Amino acid sequence: MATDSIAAILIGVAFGFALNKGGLTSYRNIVGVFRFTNLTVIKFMLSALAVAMPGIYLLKNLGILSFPNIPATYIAGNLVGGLVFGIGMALTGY
Amino acid sequence: MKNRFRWIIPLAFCIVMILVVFWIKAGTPVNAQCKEPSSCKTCHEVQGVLPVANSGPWHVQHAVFDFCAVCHGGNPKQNDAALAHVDIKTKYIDMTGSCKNCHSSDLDTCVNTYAKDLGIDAQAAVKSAETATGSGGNALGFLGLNSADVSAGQNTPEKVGAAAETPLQAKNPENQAANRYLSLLLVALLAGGSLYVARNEGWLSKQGIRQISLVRWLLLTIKKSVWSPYTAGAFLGIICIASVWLSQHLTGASGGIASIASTLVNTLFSGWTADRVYFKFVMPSGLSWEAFLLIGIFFGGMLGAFTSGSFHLRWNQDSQWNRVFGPQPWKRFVIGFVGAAILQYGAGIAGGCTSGLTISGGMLLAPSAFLFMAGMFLSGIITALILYRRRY
Repeated sequence: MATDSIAAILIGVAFGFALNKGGLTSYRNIVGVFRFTNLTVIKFMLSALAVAMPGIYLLKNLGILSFPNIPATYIAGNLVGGLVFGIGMALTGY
Repeated sequence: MKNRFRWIIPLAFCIVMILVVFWIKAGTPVNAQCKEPSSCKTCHEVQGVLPVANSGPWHVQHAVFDFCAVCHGGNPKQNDAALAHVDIKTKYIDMTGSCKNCHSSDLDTCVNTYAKDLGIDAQAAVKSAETATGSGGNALGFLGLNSADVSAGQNTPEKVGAAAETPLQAKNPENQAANRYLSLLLVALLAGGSLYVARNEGWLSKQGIRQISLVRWLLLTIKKSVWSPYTAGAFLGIICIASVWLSQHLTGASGGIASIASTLVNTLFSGWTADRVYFKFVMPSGLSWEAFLLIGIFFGGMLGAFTSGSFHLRWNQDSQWNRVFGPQPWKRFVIGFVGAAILQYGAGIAGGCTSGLTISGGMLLAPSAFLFMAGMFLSGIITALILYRRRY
């Protein structure tokens, strides 16, 4: 557990670093994506996906890692949650 | 000349995406959440090994969340069938005990309803509970099956164990070849993508290569205040993979806040949470892995600001915000607080946030990630339209 927590903190540091350097910590970048004036968030998110998706499937195929447990999709929950989340995100710009 | 072959990249990406979708149809468990999920649903529902969600009203009515372990026990964190089924209660054993966890006020009604459905006496159910414990107990009463089904050898616990041990892909030899082709495609995509980014960033220009040594280049990159979003995004993608590799967790930020809040609420208002399903089972008290991640994120963000020399304490000073809402700091605090509460509430409903659901879930090709993304952009755009009105 202790090593797990240390790994969590280290990953968190790298995560926060990436967010900061990507400009995801600034209001104008977050709101810009909803106004189509600044697409930093889309570029950031989708390039993260484009790297992580092939990467994780590749590593899994090579047998290096196994997928974590993941619960089933709740269609209504995910959609409604997304709708509520979007309101908050556009309001605060976090 | 420069733009002539740009269409190749989106096209290649689409083709690879379609191929991957066909490939994972083989039955990989697909879904994601910020919160720690259970292995029960992964095998029983998603992979379809003895699914129970639609059998019996007690399952249907409790299928909204990952509640299997609340009644049945076992270890919902283990992927291995044998380990996950240690101390499992296959039969509905401790009726009053299990129900009482959530339904402290309407216990009698609940017990009587299900006892009627199961065709047993509520009092007898409580009594038989004490005798029929253990992993060898049969699943008859619980699953609402008659004994003929079981004697036909269909749903015995031994069979379930065996089926869960063999991964579904391994049964299909076609997948072996397909996997190899896909791995090749993925390598090509990774190499091509990184080359494209490197070229766009100007790292491949003759000047860039000749002038700067690797260490100096790294230092310069770290000092840069804003990276290209492509570079930072690729870095984040690697981090997401690393977190799965190192500790079998998805990187989600909202889960941490929820677990901290739940710990606080559960200690401060234990009477109020006794009947609240969310605080007892969906997000039980105790600091989760994500809470530690959150601490790391705070210091990582600070590190980023320090290295680029942009660190200073300030109230809100974003010029765009000031133009829209006015320069008063209290407005930023109030709207920030209310908006963040809405945001966190939404993340609680969806079971994830931008990082945990969209990126981490998206990389596992979870349908929920893309549903969430669609909802988020839809309402975000509408909110921004309302906020900015004519200035949009």
